[in-house]
Amino acid sequence: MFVMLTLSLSACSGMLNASGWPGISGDENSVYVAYANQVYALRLKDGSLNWRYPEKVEAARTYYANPAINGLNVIVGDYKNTLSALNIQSGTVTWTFEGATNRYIGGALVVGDTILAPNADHNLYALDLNGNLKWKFTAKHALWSTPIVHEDVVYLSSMDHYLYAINIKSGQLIWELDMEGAIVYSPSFDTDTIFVATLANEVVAVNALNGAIIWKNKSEVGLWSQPVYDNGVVYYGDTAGKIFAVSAINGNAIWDYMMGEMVSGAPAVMPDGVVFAGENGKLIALDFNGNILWTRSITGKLYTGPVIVDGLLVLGISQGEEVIKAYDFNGNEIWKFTPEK
Amino acid sequence: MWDAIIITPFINVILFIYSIVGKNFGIAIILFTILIRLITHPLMVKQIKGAQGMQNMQQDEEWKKVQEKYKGDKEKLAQEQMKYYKEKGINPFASCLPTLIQFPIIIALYQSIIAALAATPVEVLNLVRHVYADFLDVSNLIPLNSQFLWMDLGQPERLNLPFLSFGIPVLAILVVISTYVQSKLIQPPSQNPKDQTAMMGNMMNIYMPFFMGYLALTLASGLSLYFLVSNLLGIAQYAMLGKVNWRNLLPGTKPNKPVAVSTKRKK
Repeated sequence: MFVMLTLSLSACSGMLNASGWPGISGDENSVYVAYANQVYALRLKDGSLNWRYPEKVEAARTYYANPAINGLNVIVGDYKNTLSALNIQSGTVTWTFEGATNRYIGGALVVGDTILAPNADHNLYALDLNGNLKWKFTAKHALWSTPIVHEDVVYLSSMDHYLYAINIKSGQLIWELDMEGAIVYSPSFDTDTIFVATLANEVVAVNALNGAIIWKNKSEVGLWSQPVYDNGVVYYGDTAGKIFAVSAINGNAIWDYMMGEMVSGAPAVMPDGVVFAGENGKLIALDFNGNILWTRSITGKLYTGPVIVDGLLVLGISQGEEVIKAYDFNGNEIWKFTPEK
Repeated sequence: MWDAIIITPFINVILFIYSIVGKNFGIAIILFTILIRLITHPLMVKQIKGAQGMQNMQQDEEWKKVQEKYKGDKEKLAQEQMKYYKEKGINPFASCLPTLIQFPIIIALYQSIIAALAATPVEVLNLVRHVYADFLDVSNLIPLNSQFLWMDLGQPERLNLPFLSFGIPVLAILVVISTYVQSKLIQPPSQNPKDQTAMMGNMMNIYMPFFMGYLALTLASGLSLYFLVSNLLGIAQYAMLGKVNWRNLLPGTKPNKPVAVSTKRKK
């Protein structure tokens, strides 16, 4: 029995492997993808591979955090506690920061001469562009999402249920607000208002200046998506597959649409509509009145919404045939990328 | 099906324990392992008794004579074996059936601990889907506090001391020791040193602790804690049933012979 048990346990041990969805970012030339054991730089025009890092994979080192770009380097954290700056042209390591003690799940953000890197060890690390620590801010629990910055204030959502406002120069806390539920995704920002979705099944609008709650919308089911603001409207979806467009001012419903499967990640705002991703591979584009523009069906799981890179919708796919697919705003597939095994 | 019937209830119980013991996941793992061991204890008793009956049969002079007599006739030997079982009241399945029932429970225990130790967004999403919303409040439970003593139960464990440049894998060491001690203590006696089963058992006693130690070294420490507690409880259960041979731990000592053979004739 012991042998059988042990063999089964070892077979099951794959369950412990770090798992996530592709982290995506890009500029006018390239798309950068962090997925599983490597980081890929793809040419934006056709999705061909420019470089990948590392050449030889290390089984225990995996990358899922969105890469950050600062013009010279691509900055990406891994699940083995290391933040690496990779030369944007060649993918060689410029520097590494080894000061964290847990995984990088949320992507880093570059603002001016500061890199903000949230880590699951509860710390937000602020580094200079050479990877030297400037300050760190300690939250009450793990940080899984990329912060946002507006006028020298960092807005940081945390798994500890809190939304923090932090001075970017000093790392000092300005205010904090208990959101009564863990926050997996990043907040969104409009002039003086922050929008956050929590695992307490609420979308909350918060005054960015003082941390006061402006309004909150309670959902009857779970929320696994990031609210996104555009032109006076906040868009988000729930785990039952319902998409909501609500007023940014008071949270009142404008329209809703039943997508039919869990709405994942952040919707992408195009010039003529909004694109939502569903967990089971459905991609749907709605105009700003909630009418269908187009739909696509993708093989695999979508745990994150499409990312707009220089006029393309770049989609990260988990457990599918491809890892990345790129579409134009009319839903035409432009290219796809599957890493070599 | 497996998830709905076994894993989901297990996860909810472990999270319920977690919520009532001050959100301490280490204590929750220990209590949950004890609970499952208590529930499966009657099965373990049956298994041990069944195994003891089969062991006694191998040492019974009467059976040895039968084996000798029909060593060239397998069919007849099988008939005599069934007759012997009937006469002595031995159920040949008494040792393996409880084991087969326990096996999926232990696997489920392991899988539910893994699921409950959710440390990435996808794992948390899966965990949330397993929680009975009417029974437990997800928004209050998550994030799970995976700190226990010096350990993060979602990460491999190392004890860092200020005067050492490397971390000591304390749990992995304890798992190796406890696995070795458990296997030695419950090792069945064998009268024949060339007995293949005994030789295989001795080999397992050497390799298995290192294999379990490797798992404890590389997997989340929550699982290492489960391995350790499970080993200690296993020793305690065998000790309570009087099936532990402490002398087996002494170097150079061969596994104890049974004190007495007690197979009663069925009347």
